[in-house]
Amino acid sequence: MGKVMVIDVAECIGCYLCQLACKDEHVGNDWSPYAKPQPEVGHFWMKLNDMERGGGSFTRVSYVPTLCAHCENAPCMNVCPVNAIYRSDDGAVIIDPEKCNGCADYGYEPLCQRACPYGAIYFNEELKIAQKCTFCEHLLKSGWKQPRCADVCPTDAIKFGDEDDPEMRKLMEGAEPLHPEVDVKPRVLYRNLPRPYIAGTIIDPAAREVVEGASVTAIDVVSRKEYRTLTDEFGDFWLRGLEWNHKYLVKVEKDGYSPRVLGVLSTEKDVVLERVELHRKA
Amino acid sequence: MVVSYVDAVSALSRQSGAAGPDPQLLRRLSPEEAEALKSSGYRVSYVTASLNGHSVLANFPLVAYCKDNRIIRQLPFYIPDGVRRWKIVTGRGVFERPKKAPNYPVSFAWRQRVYSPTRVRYPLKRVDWSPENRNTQNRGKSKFVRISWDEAIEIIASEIERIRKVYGGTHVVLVQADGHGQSGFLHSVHFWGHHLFNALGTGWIHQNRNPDSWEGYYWGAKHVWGFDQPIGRPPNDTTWDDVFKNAEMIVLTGGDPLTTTDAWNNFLGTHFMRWIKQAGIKVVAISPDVNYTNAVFADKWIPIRPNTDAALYFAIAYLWIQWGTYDKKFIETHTVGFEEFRRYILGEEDGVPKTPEWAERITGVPVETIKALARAWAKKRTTLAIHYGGPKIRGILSHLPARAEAYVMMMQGLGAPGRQFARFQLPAFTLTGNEKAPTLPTYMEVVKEGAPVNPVMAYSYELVPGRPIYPPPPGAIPLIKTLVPDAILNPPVEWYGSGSIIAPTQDQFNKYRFPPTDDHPGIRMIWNENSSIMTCWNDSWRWAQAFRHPSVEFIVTIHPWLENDAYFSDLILPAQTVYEHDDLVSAMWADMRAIYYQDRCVEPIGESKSDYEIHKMVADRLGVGKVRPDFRDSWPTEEWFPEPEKFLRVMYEKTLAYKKYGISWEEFKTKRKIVVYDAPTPEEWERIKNTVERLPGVPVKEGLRWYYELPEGRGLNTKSGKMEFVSGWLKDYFPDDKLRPPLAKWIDHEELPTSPKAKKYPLQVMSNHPRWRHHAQGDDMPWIREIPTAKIKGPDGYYYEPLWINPADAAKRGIKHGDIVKVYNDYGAVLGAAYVTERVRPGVVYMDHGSKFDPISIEDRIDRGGAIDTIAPPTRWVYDKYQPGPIIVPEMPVSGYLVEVEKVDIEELRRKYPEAFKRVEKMNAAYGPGYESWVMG
Repeated sequence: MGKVMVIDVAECIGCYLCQLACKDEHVGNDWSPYAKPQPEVGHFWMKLNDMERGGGSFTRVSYVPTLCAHCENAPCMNVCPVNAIYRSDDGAVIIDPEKCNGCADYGYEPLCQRACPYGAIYFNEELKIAQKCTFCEHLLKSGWKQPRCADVCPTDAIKFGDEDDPEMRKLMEGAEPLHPEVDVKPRVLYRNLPRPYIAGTIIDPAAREVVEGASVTAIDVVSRKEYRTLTDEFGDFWLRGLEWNHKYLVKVEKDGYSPRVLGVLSTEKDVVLERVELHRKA
Repeated sequence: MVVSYVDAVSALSRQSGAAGPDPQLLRRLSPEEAEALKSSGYRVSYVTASLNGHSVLANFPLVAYCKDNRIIRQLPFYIPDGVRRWKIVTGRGVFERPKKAPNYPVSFAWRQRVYSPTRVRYPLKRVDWSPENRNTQNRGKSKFVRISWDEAIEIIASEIERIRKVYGGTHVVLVQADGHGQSGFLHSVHFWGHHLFNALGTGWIHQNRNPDSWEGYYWGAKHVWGFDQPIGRPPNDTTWDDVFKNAEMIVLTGGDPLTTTDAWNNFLGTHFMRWIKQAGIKVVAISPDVNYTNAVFADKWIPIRPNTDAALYFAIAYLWIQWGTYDKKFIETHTVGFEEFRRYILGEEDGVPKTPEWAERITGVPVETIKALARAWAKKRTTLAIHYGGPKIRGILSHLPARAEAYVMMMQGLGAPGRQFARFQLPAFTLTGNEKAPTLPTYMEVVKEGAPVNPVMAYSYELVPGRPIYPPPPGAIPLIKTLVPDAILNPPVEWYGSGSIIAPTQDQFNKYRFPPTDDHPGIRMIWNENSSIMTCWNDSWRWAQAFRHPSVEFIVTIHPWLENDAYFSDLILPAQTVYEHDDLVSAMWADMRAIYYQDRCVEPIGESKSDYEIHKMVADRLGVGKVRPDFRDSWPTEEWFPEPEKFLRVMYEKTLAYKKYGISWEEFKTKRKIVVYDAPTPEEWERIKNTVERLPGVPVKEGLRWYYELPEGRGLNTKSGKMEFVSGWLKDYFPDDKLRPPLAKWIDHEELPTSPKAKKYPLQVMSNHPRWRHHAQGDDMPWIREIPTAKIKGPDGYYYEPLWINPADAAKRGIKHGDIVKVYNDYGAVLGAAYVTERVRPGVVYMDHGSKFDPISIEDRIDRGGAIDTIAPPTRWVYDKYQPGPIIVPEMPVSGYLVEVEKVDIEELRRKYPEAFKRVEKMNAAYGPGYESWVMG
């Protein structure tokens, strides 16, 4: 019965405790046979990533914790030249610190590190071995129910449990892998991964007022899916939950004003329209 | 009422064995497993992790597993099942305190400070200091040598004896022991120096910590509404109930709950923000930066230029007056002076109507947005919420935005449903936060006697229940902290207001002087327990000058780490971290009262001793014995410096845990380890809110509702007893003060972006309560320094303090992300690494204060460590420039002043100042300079 982890990015507030709790557990502690000590700095078996969003007054931050996904089809396992990597009963993918020789024959550039699509494997310069997250297997084997990162998370954004547990199954519904482009069958899934927004403020420059209640629509130029919202009391609109790298035709309208087409905007990044002017109909 | 406890033997932070779907349970140790844990050599200890210090400002602990003299791991604390947690019941949801109470990253990584290369470890003496040759000009430059404890104590004893002989007493010794630090009850406390000199009985100079994080409220808002006990801010009594129930909009005016509240209240800042969203309350953040709260929770960010907020508020008032959308009745019955304010706003007095156009020019906030904000604020039930931060506590003339903010809240009927002044500071009850009733559901008896208060706190001018200790204890000469350099470099200095935290408004009409008399010799010796001024006080290059002045004959610093002021000392005594000694912990900073016993985790590093032990050693050597008769009431033992065990037991036995629940000291210390008091039920809490009285016959209710519902305003510590637009007392005492007039007015000065000085220094630098330190505490932890917004590793391998800069400003200066830059003005220069981001508005750069001082050149005033406060303006600049004379408001401006930024060539600096770079050659850059850089041999 394997374990899974579901991380809800919407609940992540960027405190970095997951990253630190992992270091707390593994730096200076030898958990053989599962893991040797992590070096004092430089490894991020659990890593929090800051993602600055938008711009201008629509600047915000999203945070995404990343770690080894303990893949059912693990590229690291597929390439290890000395068969040092195995899967435990929990489904955790473990690099055996005794068997691993850090790819000495390959100039100490571990093949597993190169193969990993999550960038989750690190080289320990001192011990000359490859290392990564173990799902805190040494704790799970002692009766602990969660790894350190899930335990410490103040918002319980990181949930961990048995893949057959109905609560976990519910969370897994609608959760997605971080890298859907590689079919590695990860045991770490995400909810609410960041999606781009188109946001801005609508102004009536003649009246020097914001325009509240203006309708803003984004139409996907390929799928023709429509996203619509109204500007709020600050004249602001946020069209959320769009797709990355799509193009959208964006229109604004409000009674008494000449409607506008703002153009075709593409979502390589979030799009911010700081000051969109509407003019009263003659 | 049940008091819960956790049996240390069975499991700490244990979840109950109750069945039920709860996949989050970390561990359920059976008694057998717990026994196995113990027999395998693990010692589990509750370690106080708060960095607020003051001996009682602890929160919930870290649960540290230690073995073989090492810290193995630290787990978050879970409030035991048997303890009733508080909940706030509203129509929009039931908000219940979570069980989990983690400590924030800075506290969590604190374990790295135990074995850090930055530890002092041994008594250190400056290599070229001796009683015959003091070489004060070399302070901050020359290195240290290790000496023995015996030698160190003898040096101190003979210096004190010498001073008594030469100057006739110890009234020439400046004791710097205030502010934050580690939060053990007895051992890691910063006030023992005051106690020592009090015991010696021959006087001392008491450095009064400035009002800093509440500054504008203290010097400004107090004159609007009194509220002395909560230091100028409206009390936090029961406020949040109303906010969650009734507020429709919350305006965050500086302050970052995800930094400060999460740090001090075990992540309740985050939970409160989530509840605010859950309750459907709109979050509007007015600040120059997208701070860590805004980043995740702001519905609307209004980027404003630092220190210009008063102009925004005046424009909002203007609009409300135009539209008539304000609470005219409340103004009439509950305030005085509105007519004069109205005339000022309309420009009838100075010919300048405070229109949105006027405000846009000053603040950078668009006219349209100002109007939208004003409309929304009037229409929606709007609460203003702070947790420090913003111009009213860090800026220049901080009293101005604090008063302007008060004015706009008054105009909408402060205390009406959903219209409160709320603070994210969430301890159950503190004498600087509350007046009568707790912030969150707590029993009154638990407030009064749940946790012990160390009476040594009296020296910090903070709190002793029932005994405010203003005026100062006999023999103490008050000197406000921010004027110490002036007191040393160009005495005499005159100012108003002792700065004492607990002093009433009336104290601001008292004139103070240092030296107190013409025949006082001034400061001749410094006793420093903070070791932080160089990086967290304004104008600290001048502090460096003051430390090096020949009139200061001897400086001793007591601190665990080699940092900041320690570099300027003659003698450094090695103190401990909280991991290195047992202590009692009084968690009066937690949202629920608790007491716990901290077991020592590891052996003391080197020859370090606790702050208390060090002071006791000195006291014993000087023959300090029994307490003076006049002091017997305020001190719980006969001896000035009792044996630790005795003191802890005596203090513990004053609590409910002992008196009501009969838990003996022995049982608490060896078996129970922690007591967390139940919170009242919602019904009991309703009764508390409606029975605890603010005035006779007037129950508190919720926040300032008691005031709002009076038929007529009264009962405030102002001249009229009401809220005052025009301060009656300021009119009496300082009628012609241009900088803080009786009616708050916009003031143009040269540190604004609209001033001519901005041609030379076109950027404003902003400093907040740091994200990744507690002020000056904790700048040397590798796990923190690896975090992108904490430090940036330069191409030279040095970990620089990030300087946030907008892409437009960076591009103009050819600066790319990660470049080493210098931020400078006429006061000096500070290095940092550029963090290019849209999270700070154009025209503003941002660097947190508290980064460890690392001087490249004291003469040329260049710091490498990022100690931005070294170039913050001196307190007296605004008086010297605009209103010469006594310093009526001795504020400490540390944010929003003018600077320029440019790239630096670090190799060029290395060539020009080889000694400074050579000094840190051997350091472990992940920690920063330490023992290897500052100690010989």
